[in-house]
Amino acid sequence: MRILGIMPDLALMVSIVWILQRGLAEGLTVALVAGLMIDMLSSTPFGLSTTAFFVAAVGAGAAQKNVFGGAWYLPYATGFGAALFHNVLLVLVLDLGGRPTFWPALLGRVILPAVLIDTLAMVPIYVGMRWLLERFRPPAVGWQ
Amino acid sequence: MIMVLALVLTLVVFDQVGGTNPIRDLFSQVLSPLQYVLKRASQPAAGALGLVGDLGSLRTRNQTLEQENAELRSQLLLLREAQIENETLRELLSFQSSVPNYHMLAAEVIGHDPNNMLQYLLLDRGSADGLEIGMPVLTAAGLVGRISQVSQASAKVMLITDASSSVSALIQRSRATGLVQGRAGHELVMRYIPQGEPVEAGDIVLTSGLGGNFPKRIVIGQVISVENRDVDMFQEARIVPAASNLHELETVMVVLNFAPTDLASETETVAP
Repeated sequence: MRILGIMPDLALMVSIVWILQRGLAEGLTVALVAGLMIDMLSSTPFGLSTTAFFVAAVGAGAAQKNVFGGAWYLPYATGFGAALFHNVLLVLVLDLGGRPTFWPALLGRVILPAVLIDTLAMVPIYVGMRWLLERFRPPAVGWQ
Repeated sequence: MIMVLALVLTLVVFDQVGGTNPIRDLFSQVLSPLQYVLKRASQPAAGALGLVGDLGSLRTRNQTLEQENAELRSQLLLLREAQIENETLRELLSFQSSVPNYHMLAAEVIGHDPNNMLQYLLLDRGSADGLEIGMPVLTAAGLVGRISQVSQASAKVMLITDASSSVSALIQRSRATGLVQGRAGHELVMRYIPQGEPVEAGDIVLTSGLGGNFPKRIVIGQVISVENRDVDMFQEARIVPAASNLHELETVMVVLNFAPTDLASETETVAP
């Protein structure tokens, strides 16, 4: 599914919501699995998305605990930050790997639209997932 | 009692000789409109009573019809899909017959790179079908990209709009050469067009075959604008890909009988 030619980073947004709803320990597991899945499907260097998701998840957890608390805009602020971090890290690594990167074009045509779309996508994802998680109360996700 | 029987007997005999006919006609004329009205009025009631009786069977029939309707809808959807696929394949077949030199294999697009920075497609054909790295991928409209990674049953295609892609190209009208490269945001730019070469919006851009990465004369796209500054050594043209909306492709063709030239290994062989 593409919006204005941009594919929303649904896996990252789901991981962030999981952290906000079910805590850091569970959220990190979800972020790890989601990142690995994206790495398996993508042509980026393996482990890049896993790392980015993991770091973004830790950041979201820390923001929830220390910065925003229970503010209504917490999911959108953390979603925005996570998407920005993921995209910038990706471009930096690709740049270091020798891939031609033209920063102004990338910023204007890919990074900023992607971050904006991810943040907007957070609205239905957060509302829908919060309802689902409260309604069905799935068992805790984690390592035994 | 005897009187009544005698009256009935008299009436029977009277009726036999046709004596009651005028009375019957009179009754008939008076009662038939009333009979008609009563009949019409009783029909819905009879229908309703019948309906109550048939309710059980109607429910079953309704369920059967609903199920049948759902099946027909699903079949209709499948038929529409088949029709679209048929049209696409027909288009590709007609393209294949127009370029008999190429041995092409149709492949279905089964995925896209989930990353916005990279422009890749995933095909349902792999090395088992004869696909190799570097093989060009086309549609009837024009160039799509080239195979960048192959596994047994699938292959990745780097689209021409990917930032790492570059294709030697020429402008059909003026034969000016250049290099078509991908840019962020699914754009194509033709760079290194010598100054003074006539290039304008609407010009068709083809593969030049230089470098040996792609066959000659495959349509890449059309020039939409030209950037030409006196201080620059080269002109630059923005191009719209001929195979428009590369992210919505469903079926593509892989050219199997084109082996890209590996210039690096050739240089190594030639060098003393």
